Amino acid sequence: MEKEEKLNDSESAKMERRQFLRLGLYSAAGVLCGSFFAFGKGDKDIVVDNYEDLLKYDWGFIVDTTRCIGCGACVRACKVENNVPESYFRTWVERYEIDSKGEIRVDSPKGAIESFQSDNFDSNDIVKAFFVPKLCNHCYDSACTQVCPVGASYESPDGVVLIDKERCVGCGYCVQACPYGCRYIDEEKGIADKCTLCYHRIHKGEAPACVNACPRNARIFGNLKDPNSKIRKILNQRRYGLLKAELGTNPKCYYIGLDKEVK
Amino acid sequence: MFKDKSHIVRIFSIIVVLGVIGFIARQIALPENFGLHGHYRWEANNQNRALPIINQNSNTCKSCHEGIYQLHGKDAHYNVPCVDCHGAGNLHVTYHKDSLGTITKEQAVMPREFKLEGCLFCHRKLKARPSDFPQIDQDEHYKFLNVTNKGTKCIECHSPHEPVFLLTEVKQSRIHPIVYKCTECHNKKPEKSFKEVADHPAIFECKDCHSSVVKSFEVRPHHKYIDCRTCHLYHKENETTGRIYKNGNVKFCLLCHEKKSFKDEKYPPKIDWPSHIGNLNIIEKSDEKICLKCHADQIHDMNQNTKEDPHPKNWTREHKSFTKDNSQLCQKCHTTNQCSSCHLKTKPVSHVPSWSKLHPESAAQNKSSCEFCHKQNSCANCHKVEIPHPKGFEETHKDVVSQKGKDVCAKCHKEDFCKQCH
Amino acid sequence: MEHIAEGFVFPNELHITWTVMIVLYPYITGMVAGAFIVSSFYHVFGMEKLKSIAKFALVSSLAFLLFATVPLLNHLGSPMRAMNIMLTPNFSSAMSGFGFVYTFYLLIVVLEVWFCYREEIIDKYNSSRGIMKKLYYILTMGVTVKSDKAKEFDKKLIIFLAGFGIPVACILHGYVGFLFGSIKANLWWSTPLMFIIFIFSAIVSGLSVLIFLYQFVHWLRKKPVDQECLNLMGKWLWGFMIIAVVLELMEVLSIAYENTERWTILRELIDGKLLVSYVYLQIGVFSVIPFLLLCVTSLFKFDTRIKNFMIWLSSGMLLIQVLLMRWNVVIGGQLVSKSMRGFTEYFPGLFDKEGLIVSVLIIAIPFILLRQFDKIFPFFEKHGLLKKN
Repeated sequence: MEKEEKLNDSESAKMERRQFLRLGLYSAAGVLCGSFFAFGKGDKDIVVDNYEDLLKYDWGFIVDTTRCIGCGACVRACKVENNVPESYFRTWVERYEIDSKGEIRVDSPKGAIESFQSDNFDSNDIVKAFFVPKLCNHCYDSACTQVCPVGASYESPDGVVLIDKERCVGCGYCVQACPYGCRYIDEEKGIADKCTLCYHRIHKGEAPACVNACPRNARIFGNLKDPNSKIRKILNQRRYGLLKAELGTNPKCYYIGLDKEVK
Repeated sequence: MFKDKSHIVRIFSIIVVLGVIGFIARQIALPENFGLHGHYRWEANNQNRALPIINQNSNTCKSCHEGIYQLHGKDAHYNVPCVDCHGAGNLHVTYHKDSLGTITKEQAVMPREFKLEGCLFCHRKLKARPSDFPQIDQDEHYKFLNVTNKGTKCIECHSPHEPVFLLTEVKQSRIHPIVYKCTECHNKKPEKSFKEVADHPAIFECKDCHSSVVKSFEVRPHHKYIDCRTCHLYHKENETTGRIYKNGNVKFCLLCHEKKSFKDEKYPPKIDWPSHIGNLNIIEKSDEKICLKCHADQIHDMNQNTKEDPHPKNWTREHKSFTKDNSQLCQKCHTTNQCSSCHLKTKPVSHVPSWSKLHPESAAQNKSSCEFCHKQNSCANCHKVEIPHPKGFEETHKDVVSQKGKDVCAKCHKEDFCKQCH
Repeated sequence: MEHIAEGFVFPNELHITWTVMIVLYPYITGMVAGAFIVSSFYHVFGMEKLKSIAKFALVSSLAFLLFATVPLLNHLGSPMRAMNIMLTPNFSSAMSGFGFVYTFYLLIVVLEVWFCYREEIIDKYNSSRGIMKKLYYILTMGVTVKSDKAKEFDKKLIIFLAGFGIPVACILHGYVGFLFGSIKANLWWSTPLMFIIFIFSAIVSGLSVLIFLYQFVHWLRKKPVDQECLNLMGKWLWGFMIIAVVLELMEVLSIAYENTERWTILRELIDGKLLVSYVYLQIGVFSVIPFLLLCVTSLFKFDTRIKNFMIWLSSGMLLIQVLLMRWNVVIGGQLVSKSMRGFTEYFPGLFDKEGLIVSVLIIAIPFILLRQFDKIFPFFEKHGLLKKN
């Protein structure tokens, strides 16, 4: 139910219009694969073929750390969806535990792909503990695209930081430049890789795999340019923080309930 | 002059030629539509978009598995997408939608055997988890339920699609509901009660076990305003009873029942504090559970009569042994001369000279009050027969009359009493 | 490989991205830039004392330059696409200039070498036969006649190229420092001082490798060294190493003194993971001892044999110092987690693609190339003969 709302109304209205036109054309032409088409992409198909269409979007992300239960469903879904190498992560979940002496323990065993085992401190001694899911911040002024020497890493017109897999030389400079540790070198393919906000999904009306998998709606995704979108409404209501804002990367992943210990 | 510089000219012209060749080579090798909308290859954007979707949306699952989808949507797991437990499902969907594909049936099978660990991904008790999220300490849980095999899977008892409502065999177990409100499953509060929905899953309610308490609570005029949860924490595994919040602390009661200038005077009933106990001259103020001392039995059953007689119905008989050990406790409510209102050393005022004729009426009404002074069998001293008459006495009175004579009857019954029947 | 992390590191940081190959690259370009600058001192500033080493410096600069890209190519995930950096350079990136700066610099060095050796190539052309003759003909660019006037033009051009090459050499190497220093995400790298440190350490490594090889070759061939040249080089090495080491220490000092958030973790880095390679080895052994040795050789007069040995020893130690410095910067910076909560672990394997054996090979090949070059166009021949006669 919630998932359906992840794409907002105006989008869906537009999509319906497009869908209608498209279906009209198909039936007029007597193309039988229309039904197959309708199946494959769900009933909310955003068809964007040109640059101007993409400019209507600015995909943003909210992580509600107060809701996260650290189950790791997002990590597992992302691994499968994007064929992420075993030792690297496009998204992961960190656990912060603070005991009565103020000592802080942070961990993320295997990116929390198998969730977390027992508490690190004595359970009764923990005064504060919480989970923080992390993923690429898709910064407006991303350090990684700045340093890509060959123009393989770029920001798409709809505000997603992506990699051109055919041009990346695998120098690793972007991996160094990302302050959030969100990039990695895929040794097998010899290129850098990172979270794409499931670019292939969001343009077919689906939420990113991690959003789709989250059982607690701790991850919210949507179009920042649409004032009526769910993500905009939440950003207008809630107080949020950014990761390493002092570096001037202008991240676009908003963290609700961010603690000062989270870096 | 030129001859001496010819080698310089040659080498620099070679460099220039190489530079030009390099520039031309660059123009040729430059990828198509590079720099169209920024310093990147525009086609890469389309390539990134063209990847196949792996994780399926639950709506896709719904199109075939409508029934289970509906069931799942009604329970606590309503927001858990199918992919979290069943896997991405792309092969499954492709196989069943496109029978001509290359995917084998084996590949299309989705996992249904769930490991214990799978449930614990979400439900293992961790400090970092939000405390309102249901969490299990496996050891405690199994100890509580007397489960001896540690490898027992959650799905032995809990249906993954309706985890809150246990499988039928264990429905009678002592586990208490964790769903309190409709809105914990439904987005909006439904118009109908769940009882009016035909196929609504069963819901454990307090009254399933505590029927008498809930019933008496429901007759209270204001039960609409508060429910069980207002005062009770539900059973948790490390707590044995549905105890009252703050463990019955007086302050908790006073939150509602203390007279304050800013509060409505009438509802709910208010008291002056601490003069309320001062007037009653009851107990030390340090006793935190003071309200419960007197009001424990009235909390659910708000019948004011109980205030006059808080004791069980056969109390007059049983209080003897109790007062022997707890005479001080009685004195918290009763003054010592209250005993003497019953336990008299002289004849009671009611026993006027004509009492022997008057006593049957009051004895019939409240025989136990006689027993304060008179022994249980003291009636027989005079009457010679069992008083009041036992059942079936109509049949057996013949024998009594013939044995003991008519005089025995004449003490109470008039002479023409026999003629009424005979 | 088992990765052990201390504290918390982001899951992607367990494996470091830039391996020992990226340690070698600035090491090699450092030697290139340093050697070139030394040769330019002779050509541009007319320091006759350096004449006996100028040619050698220039050619070794070329030899190292030719192999500077090898560790980079070996490290690239997709080396086949290496030319993309010239094809679609993204000029907002510090790295994009690499292709052009490198090519330009290579051009300058090749031209300078060609002008220096033109007459000798013509001589070889005249004295050889068959295929070799044709090969030399190509190398002469078809101009096989020597003339004094042409020689004068060559000399002018060499001065111009050498002079022009100095800033380019500084850019080539300073830019490597900038590459690290401009990464705001990395706590250990991010400092504007980084590229200055890199330039000075480059000159140190350039001087060191020249002194080391010069003495080594002359010792091997049992020929006497040019003492004046060596003394001057020794003094310069002393001066530049002081600047380089002081800059390195000042950088750490200023981070420590500012005492911002990052110092808490960098202190742990210096105190833990880098204790041996940075504090004990780079600073303690390989900076202090050469400094003391060079103090003695520069300030006192005594037996030249001992003096030369001390200079040779300190040049060798400084070569290691610079390598350690590259390691501590490149690897050290990646050991610190960007989460500021822990460290990862790295040591190259022996047989890895980017392992120790490959590293040794990459370092060794320029020296072998230099040896081959020396066979065709001897660096020290004239000088040696003069002394003999």
